[in-house]
Amino acid sequence: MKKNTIVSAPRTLQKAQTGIRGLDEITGGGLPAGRPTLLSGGSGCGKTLLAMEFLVRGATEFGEPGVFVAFEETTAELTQNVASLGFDLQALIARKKLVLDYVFVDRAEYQETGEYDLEGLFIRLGYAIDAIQAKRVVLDTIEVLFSALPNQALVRAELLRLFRWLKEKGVTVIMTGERGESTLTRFGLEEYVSDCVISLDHRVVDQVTTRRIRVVKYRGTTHGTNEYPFLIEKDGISIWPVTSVQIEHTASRERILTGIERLDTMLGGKGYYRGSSILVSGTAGTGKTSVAATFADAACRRGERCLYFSFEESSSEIMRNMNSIGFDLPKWVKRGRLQFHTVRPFTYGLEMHLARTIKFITEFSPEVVIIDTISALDTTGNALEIKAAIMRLMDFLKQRGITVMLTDLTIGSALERTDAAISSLVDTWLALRDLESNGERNRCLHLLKSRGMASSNQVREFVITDYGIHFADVYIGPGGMLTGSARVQQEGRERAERVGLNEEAERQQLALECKRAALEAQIAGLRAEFSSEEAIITRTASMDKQREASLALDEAAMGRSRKGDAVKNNGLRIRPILTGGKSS
Amino acid sequence: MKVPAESGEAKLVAVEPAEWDLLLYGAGLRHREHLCQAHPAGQSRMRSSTLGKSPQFARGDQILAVPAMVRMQSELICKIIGNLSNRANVVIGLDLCRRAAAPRGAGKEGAHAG
Repeated sequence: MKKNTIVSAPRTLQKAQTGIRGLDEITGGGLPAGRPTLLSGGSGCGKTLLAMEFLVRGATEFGEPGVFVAFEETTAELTQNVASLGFDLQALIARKKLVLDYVFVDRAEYQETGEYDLEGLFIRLGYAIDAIQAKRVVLDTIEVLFSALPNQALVRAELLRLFRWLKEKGVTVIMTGERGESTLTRFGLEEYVSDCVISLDHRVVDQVTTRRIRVVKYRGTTHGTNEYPFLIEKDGISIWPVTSVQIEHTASRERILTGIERLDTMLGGKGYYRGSSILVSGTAGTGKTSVAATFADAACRRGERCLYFSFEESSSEIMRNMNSIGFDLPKWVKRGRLQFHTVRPFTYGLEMHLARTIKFITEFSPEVVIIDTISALDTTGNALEIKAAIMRLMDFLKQRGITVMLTDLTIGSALERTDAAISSLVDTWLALRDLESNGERNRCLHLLKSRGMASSNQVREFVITDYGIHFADVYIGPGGMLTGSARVQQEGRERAERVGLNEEAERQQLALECKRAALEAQIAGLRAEFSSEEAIITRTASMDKQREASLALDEAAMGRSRKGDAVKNNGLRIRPILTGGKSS
Repeated sequence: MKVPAESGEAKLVAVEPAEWDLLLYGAGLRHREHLCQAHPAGQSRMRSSTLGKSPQFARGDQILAVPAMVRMQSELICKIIGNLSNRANVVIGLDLCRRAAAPRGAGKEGAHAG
């Protein structure tokens, strides 16, 4: 049990923490301790629940017992009503932490017989306070006294006396009041005696109701003056103020991968910055959800937690559709790394969406948040309001270093249309685009902006396969940019051309070989001819020599036979003799 | 102490039975005699409670305004508030007397809780 119920601030007002999530934040620490606070609002806007939570939290968390004086509901009804918020009043009563006192006032019962005062109420209250040493009191709703007792001047005077008395007792008081036509309360008394006035509201705008809370006045202290939406859920009331207007978060240098390898390359090779905001815009069916799911899957693979808000598809639809491109998201859900929140945008107002988003983020504390799509929120407010809300959400996320991916549906061909409002807020902007040509649509991805990193300026064709998203270079040539089957065709043509070129070269090579072979054959033929000729000539010459020799032999033999003298053979033949001799 | 003016306008008729348990909260018993005068035939057992000493009664009988007087009959039947100076309202409020039926029209019933 925490004991620091009264936040001491030197020379300023002491405050009693309410313990209600967000209320202490907008009141700067709680309600004025020892003084009365008015909780004003129409019927059904949560006054009684808030007041009861103030007592229950006081009793359980701050060690301050409380008295609840109910003028409208019996104790049994009250106990039952707040049981839905998880408050066990009977247990608190048994532990003397709480007193419920039902004050029944029925005008018909009272016959006035002369002068009177409300000392009875004082005594009852004093008795209840003393019984448990209460520090907190709730009067719900005190205006009943005005309608029950005929003498309004007396009631007024007595209530003023009551508040003085309660202040003397040092109890922190919440009184509830039904809103009047133009005043905070019907009888215009409570707001003057209260040091703090909180207004609750339950407004219907375009058939969507939003509960809002506002600190109207708070004597002697600063407080948030805006209206904040609040939720009443099974764990009580929570207010989710996004009050920060400063841009003070420290920028992380850490980079996280996108889940698409070539997109990482486009982003300087390392992916997004952690804690940055990424906008994925595109017309219907360009693959925004696929990019988002890829990123979610990548985060879960890293062991991080991802919170996925979907305004258009149910979680099972997303998981089924992403399964078809190879992502097993249910696995991550089962391991508690991925959480889906799917709600139709018109279920709540913009502020309520924001409050719920922040609540879920605070509870799940993810590293990555995906909002698919922010354009679904268009129905919940005008462009300015939406921009403001998204800006506040992004500030909230950046302060916590959470990376957020927003998808945005653009309509028509204007690539940068819807995003004018939001694009200036985001750090990285991926634009997905359909290119229609040759009777088909193909997806392209442009990296329109990426703060703080060297990034690619090229368009990539974006192909969704059975195994996730892949990028292909688009064909840029004399015929313009080609994608899809035209790109494939072009690639094919180029391939064919390359093959053709190769064949030509081979053919030429072959022809050259042939030529060389022919030439060599020719050379061989010539050489053969030459050598045969050479052989013939050689043989002829040797035959001549033989004949000459045999002639000489014959001449010698003839000379011997004619007893002639020997002719000196000096190498010169005297052919005419021979020839004459022979021919003769 | 003012004597009620309406005693001349309408006659008060005692309601039977004429025995009551009365509990007076708050101030003293200064006006007991008024009660007796208003319903001389009646017998009353009157107790008084100074709430300061036994504040739990204030809760049980739903007392806010004081002085207050309640008429008991096993449980609380009627309750009046004020210093009992308006004698007619006292007896009517406690359902001890009713206004006599007016000559014309319906008589006004004394205000009381059922």
